[in-house]
Parts: sequence; C-alpha cells; structure tokens
Amino acid sequence: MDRESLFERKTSIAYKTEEKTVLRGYDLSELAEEGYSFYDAMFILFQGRIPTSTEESMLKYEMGEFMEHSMSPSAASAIAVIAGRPNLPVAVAASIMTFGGVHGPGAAHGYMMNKYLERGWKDGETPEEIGKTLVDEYMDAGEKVVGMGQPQHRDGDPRAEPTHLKQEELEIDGVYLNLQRSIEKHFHERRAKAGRRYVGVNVVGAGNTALMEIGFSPNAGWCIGSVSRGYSCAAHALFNMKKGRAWAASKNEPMVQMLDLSMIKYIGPEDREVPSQKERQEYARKQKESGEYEKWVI
Amino acid sequence: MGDLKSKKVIGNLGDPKLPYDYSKRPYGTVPEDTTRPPFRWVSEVAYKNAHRIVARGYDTTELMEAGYGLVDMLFIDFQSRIPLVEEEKMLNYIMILALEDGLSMPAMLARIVAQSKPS
Repeated sequence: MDRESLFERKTSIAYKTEEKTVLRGYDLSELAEEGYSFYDAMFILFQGRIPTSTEESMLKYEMGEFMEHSMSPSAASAIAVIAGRPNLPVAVAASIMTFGGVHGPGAAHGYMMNKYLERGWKDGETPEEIGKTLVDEYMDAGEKVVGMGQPQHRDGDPRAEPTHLKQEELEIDGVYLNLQRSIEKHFHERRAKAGRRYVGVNVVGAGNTALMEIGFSPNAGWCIGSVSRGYSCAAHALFNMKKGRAWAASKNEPMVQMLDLSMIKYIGPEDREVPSQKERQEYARKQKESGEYEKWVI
Repeated sequence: MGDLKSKKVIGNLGDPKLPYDYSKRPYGTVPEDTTRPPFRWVSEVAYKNAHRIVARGYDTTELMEAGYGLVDMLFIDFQSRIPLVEEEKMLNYIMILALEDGLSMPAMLARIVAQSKPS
C-alpha cells in the first residue's frame, strides 16, 4: 500500500534528535545561550520567525500583564480542585478549563475583529467606520460586544488601557488598535446616549488587539493567555496545597472554610418524605399534574 | 426547612445495627457558623480590588510599565521577591528549554485531542 505509517507525525513546529531540540529551525539551546527571551521563543513557536524588539516588548508586556489576576474563576477552580489533593497538574488543567465565553483569553474577540475588518475592507470602509458598524450591529441585536466590561473592575480594567498606551508607545498601533479604539468610542457613545453606566475595555479587548497587531491569530492569542495564566494558577494551587487545609471543610481552622456545611444555602423544594414503591406511581402522577415542579426544572 | 412531622421507616433504615436512629436524624441545612469569621478567599499570592491587581505586594500593571515581564512575574508569584538579574536570566533560560520538546507525549496527546475538534 502506498500510504505513510499511521504512527508518523508531520510537524512544521519542531523536531528533536539525540543531540538537540530544534524549534522552527532554531536550536533551542542556541536561542537560550544567545540571550533570547522566553517571549522570543513563544513568538518563534507560533509565528516561525524571530520578533523585532518592539514585538518582543509588546508580547512581554501582555504575557506579564495577563499572568496574575488573583481570584478569578481560573484561580478559584485551581484552589477548589487542589482541595481534593490530586496531583498539581490536575489543578492547573482545571484552571484552564474555566476559560470560556466570559473568562480567560477569549479568541472570540479576535475572530470578531477579523470578520468585520474583512467585510469592511470589501466595502471600502475605514477602521473607524467598521468599528461603528460592529457596535451598531451587536447592540441593535442585544448582543454583548466582546472585549468590553469586567465584573470586578467596574470603573475600568487596570490592565486594559495601559496595554493600549504601550502599543502606542511602541509604535505598533495599526489597524487593530484603530478598530478597537473605534469600537470603544462608539460603544461608549451609545451607552451614554441610552443613559447607561460606563463600561470600559477589558484585558481581552486590549490584549488581543495588541497580540493581533503583532501577528498572532486569535487562537494563538488564546494559547499565549492560557500559558501565562496557567503559571499563576499553579502558584495559587501550590499555596493552598502547602498552606491550606485539604477538603476545605476543617472545623479546626480559625475561619469558616469554603466547604463548611454552614456555607450551604439551599433554596430548593422543602424537605419531603420519600414515597414507597407501592405509592410511587400515583404520587408521581399527582406531582406531575400539579406542575409545581416546573419552577425547579433546570 | 426543618424536620418532617411524621417519619416512616424505609428499608433498612430502622435496623438496630445502625449506630444511630435514622428517623431522628434532622433535616434542614446547618445554621450559619457565627463562632468563626465567615469564609473568605485567603491568599498570600495575590489580591485585587476594582482598581488594581497586586501580586506579592506589587501592582502588576506597574511591574509591566517598569519593564518587568512574565518571567519576573512567575518568580514573584512563587518566591515573593523580585529576582536578581542573574536569576531572571536563569529562569528565562530554563523556560526556553522547557518550551519545546519536539514530538514528545504531551504534544502527541494535544494533537490527538485536537483531531477530535473540541471547541
């Protein structure tokens, strides 16, 4: 048969031999010996080329800025999982698994930008015009504009606007930042006109903009954010593993623990007797007919 | 919530070999523990408020503006101090070497999982 072996794996990313590991053509040890940074290596990994110094500076800023966010769903998940004392990688994996539509790096913002840029360019629109179209379409449809708002930093995400400013300082403010600035401007205008409170750009809106400006795809941006946040979630899990109580329910701790029984607030149906199997069918029929259960169905 | 008025014995739950009388075990959630401070997320690593994110005492945005990066942040999170320049260089070196290992088991597994097109 003229087929390749099932176990052969093609890759354009890296190979290794007994003597060396080679990333996109560059020997990894030589990169490290030559004084390149972890950010350079990440850039090479995803883009296959050595970044310019400004690109490296932007990536360094964004990765450092995104790494630690104290108690977010990702850190809380790492802490909760390590309470059962699995191995550390399990807690780190659990933290990454919280990333979704409203938490974590969020590739959706990048895809949103690319979709509107592609469409707008075909129609001959400027980034400023594309931003207005995007905001109008999202808000007219009652949809959340991706990259705006942070539930804990209600007066402005401390990481976001400084990231925009860093991009401008490094003079890598291109089409993506122009579009993002336009999105924010029209978003603020529409909310103000409707008498709604100020909602600022978040770290995904600002960070993705910067990463895409230096050539990363939305999914590559997601990977970089996941790697960065993974380090801090590992620290939170390790802290709780070394200095916290397993199970998170100890009565001997001076503070009520996360899973202490008194932390349970139950708002479901009243306690009720279990019907015998003889009574079951009639009981179940009446229960279904009453419809009372419908308010509890999820 | 509270105890049911009449309780019947179901199955083996009235067996005298049980170390307790099941019919007398109370329903209802446990009252709030007012003898100890309520649960809070305890951390030595980082905190945030509406305005700042602070790791081991350092504002993370200020760290980035001052030219620190993820490698420094990683050192700060785990060791609670700014690394010496030599320490940052060494950690950076190790992180580069650990970044890629060609087609080792984690990369193989990532590829296999990606082939099932998870979101």
